[in-house]
Amino acid sequence: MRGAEIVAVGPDNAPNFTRYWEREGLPFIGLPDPAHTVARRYKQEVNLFKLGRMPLNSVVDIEGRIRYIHYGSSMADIPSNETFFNVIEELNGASR
Amino acid sequence: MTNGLITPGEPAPDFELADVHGNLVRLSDYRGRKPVVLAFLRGFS
Repeated sequence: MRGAEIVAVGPDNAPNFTRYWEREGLPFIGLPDPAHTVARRYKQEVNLFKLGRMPLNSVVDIEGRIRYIHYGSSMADIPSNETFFNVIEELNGASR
Repeated sequence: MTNGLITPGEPAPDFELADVHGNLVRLSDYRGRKPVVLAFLRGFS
């Protein structure tokens, strides 16, 4: 992505996560978090009636602050790519 | 906020995990370098 690092954190154990990552050829950073330590720290919702973990997406600026965060209310409730591009362009514009 | 969720403007909680290649990745390593898009996944299985 333009001027940002993409980091994905997931609940699978390292072998399963790695197998999926390599099979799909995903070009960004993948972090297995099977103990859910980071997911808990970021308050990712686990909703058993909705069959599991809800999407959670965030943008962290270069000072280490949360600039955007979205807690999905359903599996499909994930912000558009455009939303992220706009936040990142604003951040990168402001830091130049 | 009373629901305890993270809100914009707060410091991002730092963390360190090994990536799929076994390299340690720490969120704060990007400080001063570039923004980070964090995506928390549902799981593949």
